Amino acid sequence: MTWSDEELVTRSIGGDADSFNQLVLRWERPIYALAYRQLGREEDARDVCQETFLRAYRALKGFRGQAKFSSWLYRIALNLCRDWMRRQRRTPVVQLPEDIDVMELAAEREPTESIENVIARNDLTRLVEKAMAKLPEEQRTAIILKEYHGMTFQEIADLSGCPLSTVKTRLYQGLAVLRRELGKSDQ
Amino acid sequence: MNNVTCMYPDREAVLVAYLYDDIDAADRVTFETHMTTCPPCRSELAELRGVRATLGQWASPEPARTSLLNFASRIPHSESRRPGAWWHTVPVWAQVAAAMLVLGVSAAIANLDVRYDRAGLNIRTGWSTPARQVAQTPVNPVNNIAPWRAELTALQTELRSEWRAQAASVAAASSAPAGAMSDGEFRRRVRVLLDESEKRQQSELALHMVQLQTDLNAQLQAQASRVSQNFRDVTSTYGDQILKQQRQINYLLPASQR
Repeated sequence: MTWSDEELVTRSIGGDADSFNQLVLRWERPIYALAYRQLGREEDARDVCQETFLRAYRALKGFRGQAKFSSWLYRIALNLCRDWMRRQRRTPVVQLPEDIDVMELAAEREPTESIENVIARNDLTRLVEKAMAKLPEEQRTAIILKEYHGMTFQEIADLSGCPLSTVKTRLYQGLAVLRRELGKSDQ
Repeated sequence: MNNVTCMYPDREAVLVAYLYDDIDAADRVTFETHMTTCPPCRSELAELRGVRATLGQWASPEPARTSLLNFASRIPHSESRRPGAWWHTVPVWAQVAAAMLVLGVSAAIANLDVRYDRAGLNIRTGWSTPARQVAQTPVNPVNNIAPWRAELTALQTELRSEWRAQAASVAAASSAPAGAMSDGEFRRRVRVLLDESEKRQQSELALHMVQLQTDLNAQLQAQASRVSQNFRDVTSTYGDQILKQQRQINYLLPASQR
């Protein structure tokens, strides 16, 4: 039987540690991906991800169920990412293309994928990371939540604490910047 | 995108909503109808779709599965490593024993002197008298019988004799013939009886008070004896350590403070 998030939360509050483990397994990947795209470095994303679940675990009894558990978790993660960036006083990290290790890429590739494709895909990833790093935090967050987490405009507005129209404006402006930055690389 | 000439109302918001397919059905139909006659909107929509396609290539790495495996069961373990929480693992009896040991050693180091004599219970600390002297002259509760015991016995005897005398006088008064008594005489005898009864109750109360005080003093004396015995036990058990520490303290303290 598959429990809903809210049922697992209730069981966790009742002392069932395995229920919280299931929540972690269910949401670890999205939260890690969110943190990685926000911060740009794997070890930072791992730390933020771990801290997110630790804080959620400690504050579980205070979770009132007014919002979805996933929204609550995303809010914790976003706050942690924001704190991290303010503490570091910098934009997300973008590793330089010179750091690419072809042998390492070859080891990571799918068996059916050629090394050329792997390198091209990796170049594109660096390009997107570089363009995303140039966005203001609000625009980057809106695009990440919409593009990679499939949230509705309303969910993003609730998470960001801003009006629906502001979310759409941030998305439009962010996409405009990305189009310009990605267009530079085509020339 | 900067050279847009289209004046569609709330264009940017509608364009983004249409791009992400997060738009009302009616608004969708209206905007699609508009796009058939608006090349700038069609062009921009295509460009934004291209940006989305590029963004779709950005994959995040997989998290290490072992990093958060069995997360919840690991939290108490990490929490227990917080400074100050280690003693939760020590059994209660060991904590009590450690507390007693610390208390005993502290008392010995402080040169605690407990005495119970004519002046009552006397607890004193300080280095004016060496601890060895305390050990050599222990308090002996058997030889230290307080003088108040004799006084209490005398008081008790006195009260009992007075009580018996009052009882005899009442009996004599009640043995006189009732018929020979006038009303005045009867009232006087009743008053005497009441007075005697009141005195007797007061005497009983005083006797109880004396008994209570005797018991209380006996308990105090027993407790003082136990404290003294415990102190002797601590001194004998940890005597060497105490003497060593005392010597160290005497060495460290200036002569004027010894």
